[in-house]
Amino acid sequence: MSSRKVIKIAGRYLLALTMYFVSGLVLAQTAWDLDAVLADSTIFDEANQVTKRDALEIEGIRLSPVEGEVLAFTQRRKIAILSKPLQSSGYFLLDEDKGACWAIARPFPALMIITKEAIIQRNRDGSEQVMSTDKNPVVRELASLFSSVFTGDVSDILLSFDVYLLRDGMPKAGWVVGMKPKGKNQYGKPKEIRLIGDSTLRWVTFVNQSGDQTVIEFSAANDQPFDVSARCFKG
Amino acid sequence: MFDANKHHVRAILWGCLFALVVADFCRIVVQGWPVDGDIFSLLPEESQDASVNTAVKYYQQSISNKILFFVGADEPASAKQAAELLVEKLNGSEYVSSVNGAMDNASETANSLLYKHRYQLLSSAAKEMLSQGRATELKQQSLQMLFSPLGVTDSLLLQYDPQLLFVDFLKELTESVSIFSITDHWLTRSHEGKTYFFIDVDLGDVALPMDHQIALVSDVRLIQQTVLGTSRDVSIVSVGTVYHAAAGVSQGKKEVSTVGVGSAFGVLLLLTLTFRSVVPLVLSCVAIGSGVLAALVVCFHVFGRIHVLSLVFGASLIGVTIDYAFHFYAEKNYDGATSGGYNGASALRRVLPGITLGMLTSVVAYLSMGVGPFALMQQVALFSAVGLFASFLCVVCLFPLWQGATGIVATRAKRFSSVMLALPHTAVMRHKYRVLMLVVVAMSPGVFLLTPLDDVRLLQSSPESLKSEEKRFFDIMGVRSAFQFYLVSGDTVQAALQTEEALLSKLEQLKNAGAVKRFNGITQVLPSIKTQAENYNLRRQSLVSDDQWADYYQTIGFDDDQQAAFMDAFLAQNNNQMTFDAFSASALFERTKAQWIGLVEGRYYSVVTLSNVHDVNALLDVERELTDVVWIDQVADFSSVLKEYRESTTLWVLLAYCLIAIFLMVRYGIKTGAIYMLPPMVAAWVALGAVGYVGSVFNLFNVFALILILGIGIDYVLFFAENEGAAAPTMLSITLSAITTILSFGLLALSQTNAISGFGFTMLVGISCVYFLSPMYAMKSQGDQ
Repeated sequence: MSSRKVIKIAGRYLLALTMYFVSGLVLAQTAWDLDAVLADSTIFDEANQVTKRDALEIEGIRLSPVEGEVLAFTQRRKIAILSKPLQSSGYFLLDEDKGACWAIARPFPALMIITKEAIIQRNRDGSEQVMSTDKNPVVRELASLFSSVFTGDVSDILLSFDVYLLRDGMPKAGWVVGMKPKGKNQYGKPKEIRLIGDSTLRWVTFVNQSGDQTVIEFSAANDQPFDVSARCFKG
Repeated sequence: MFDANKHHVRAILWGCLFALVVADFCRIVVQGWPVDGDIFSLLPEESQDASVNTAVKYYQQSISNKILFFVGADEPASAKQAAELLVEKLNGSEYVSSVNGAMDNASETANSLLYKHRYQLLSSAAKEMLSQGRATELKQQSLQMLFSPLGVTDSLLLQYDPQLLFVDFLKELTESVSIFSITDHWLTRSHEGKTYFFIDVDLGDVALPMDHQIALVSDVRLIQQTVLGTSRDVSIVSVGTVYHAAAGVSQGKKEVSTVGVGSAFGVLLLLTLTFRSVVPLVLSCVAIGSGVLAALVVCFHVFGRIHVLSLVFGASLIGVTIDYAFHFYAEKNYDGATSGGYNGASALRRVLPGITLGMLTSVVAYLSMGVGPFALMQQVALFSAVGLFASFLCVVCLFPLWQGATGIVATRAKRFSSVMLALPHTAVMRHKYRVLMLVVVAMSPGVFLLTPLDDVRLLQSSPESLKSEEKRFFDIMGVRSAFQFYLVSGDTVQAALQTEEALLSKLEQLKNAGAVKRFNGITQVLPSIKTQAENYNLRRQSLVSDDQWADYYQTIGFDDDQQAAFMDAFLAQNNNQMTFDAFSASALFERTKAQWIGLVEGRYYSVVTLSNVHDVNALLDVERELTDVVWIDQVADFSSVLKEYRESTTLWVLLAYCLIAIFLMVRYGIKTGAIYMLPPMVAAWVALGAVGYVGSVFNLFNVFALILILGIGIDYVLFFAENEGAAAPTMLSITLSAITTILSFGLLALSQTNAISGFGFTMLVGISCVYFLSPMYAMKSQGDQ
């Protein structure tokens, strides 16, 4: 083999290798492998634990979705004993004063607004169920958990959960915040929660005691079949 | 000789009796003073049904033996740390029987018992939907629970309860039962930006002796201070009946010593200044001491324990029991040196009719205060009557025994008496009836200003700091427990539970109407067997006949095998109701046992407690509609008893004044009799007017004072009327008695307890007035000439 040929082949390999690395880098910059992130338990290593309330702020991590911006969400709930995942989708809107609104569109329309004071459920027929947080501690737990998460209030979370942060190896300067309830597991509280995002929050996942998993994915709401803001807060 | 022997025998008998009293008193002291400061112990037995009363007492006991804490801080972690420290320190206290802070696995074990009986338990909403055939709505509710982002679902739960009706039941249960959040195994509340951790302390036996209660409270407060010292950020708020009891006892102790020491000091000073001899001093101390000791011993035997307020009233007795000694020595020593003096026996013979009559009228006056359902006044009445009688006995049996000198009346005292005796003869007394008229008219606006206030809380003198701490506690708690509650009963446990369910369903309607914010009963957690069976049947009927469920199973992906497995499990659980025995052995019972009294005199009792009551009348109506449900409102009942009793006692007092007037008119003729009635009547009017003018409240205790003003006032009048010849010694002894009586009741007027100070003030004004009026109207004076 002539030396020119060798150089040529070597050059191709080199190019391929470069391409491979470059494309790998590019891919790493653009794509999240959600299953891999969810399967990775190293997030809960002691080294990743966050103990100070301003630790996330320092890292420049914004747990909450952008206020006032309508997002689309898809929820997949995998319950071990059910033959298919329970899937729902709709729109999400955060308002600092009025709360976090989940406007479910599929499989049936329903609306849920979470504030620190109450969880309001609006049914198809327009009827409303208000579960006040000062009446029901479970509602209060959930409302407080969700509003802490969606307003980025870490100090509340730090009290009930051990909080972990992982940034290494995440695409797009992304981050994973993991939470585990302190002490023994309690009914109604998830076993672990992960918040995954980069410039914004992209997924929230819950795993409960029996291993059932819920994944909520947020994305830009390009087309809205109805005025989400009006339905949420003016209806 | 015979006479002397008779006196010796009397003295020896008295000595034996006194020795017995002293011995018994020592025994009582050694066993620990059974003195209480709890206002509840003064409440009258209000129901006709004895077992209801016993049940209410059990309930009071269970709430009295608790201290509750909130430990709070801006930073939840530091609040938790302080709460842990507090629990640790409280556990080390010898007075505390158990401390409940962080919960172990109680909630899980509790839920597992409920889970076992899940097919028998339904939320009230689900029950309503099922019984009205609204399965579609129920299906929609279950779907939302599964698909919503906040849904609480679980494979384990879903497998044997695909409709999630057990989750629904638990949701309603937590909503109705708990007002707390759970943070890291602790019950917590958020208030004004702070997180508060809740601690519940059980004291065991509250029937603690007085000193133990005070020691317990100071121990608990010391622990609280120690924990507060560890962090600047932390605050601790706590409530407990024992705080009020201990504050009442300490306050009472202070007042007992103020009144007791003040009166005793005044008596001794008067004796010394007037008679200037050691013997009257010593013997008078014995008379007072024997009176007080006998009164205490008899009260402990009759009532088992004595309330600290009774002791405060009782302390004023010192100023009254000394009267007989004054009469004796004023008579004996008035002209001691000049006329060769009386010996003890002849002095006694002279004063005996007067002091016997005086003792009898006072004992009757005091005892008449004790008629009625009123623990405090019963104790005061018996205490005073026994005390007076014992000191009278002492004067009669012991005083004549001393053969030696007992001093002579000081010249200054005699001079004072003569000045007082000269008063009726002064020029102004020509117009004595006009003067009296003027006084009556002047005081009338005061009398019309009187505002009756019959509130049981007038008997409580808890410090402001305690009240504001309590208010803060309930602000954090978010609810204010009502003093009112329902007592539900039944011949069997199940009968009581069923009656309670009927009550709760009515209360649910009232809650929706805004009459009450919350209510709690044991059947919210443990429905009756009957209801559990109904729940199961409703569910079975729906599962078998509603075709909604096939569609539902398909939507959620619950396959045929799973459906079959679920139905098998469901059908196998027929008649698997949760029994009371299983329930009472569980951790759940621990959390609801405040609602269950249990078996009392052949009936089973449960308690339905209420918070934030807005419409008492609506709640009272419910009692009328149901049998075996009794509405207990102790504050209102007791206050209305106070009111009724004030009204009826006022009538009795008027009757007593009339009867005495008739007696005087029969004895002395209509005109003179009417004149003799003037001093106590005008004194009572002036006293009432003064109460009105100073703007203090008017209640039963002022009326009691009127009885004593009549009793004591008539004594004064009669002494003057009957002893016109020996006016000087009478004037002296009445002056001395009046001074000590006024001193004692005047000191009572300083009490922090509204009812006691009102009584003292009325007495102070009334007795002062009657003292000045008696000689002027009971003796011949300028106006009569």
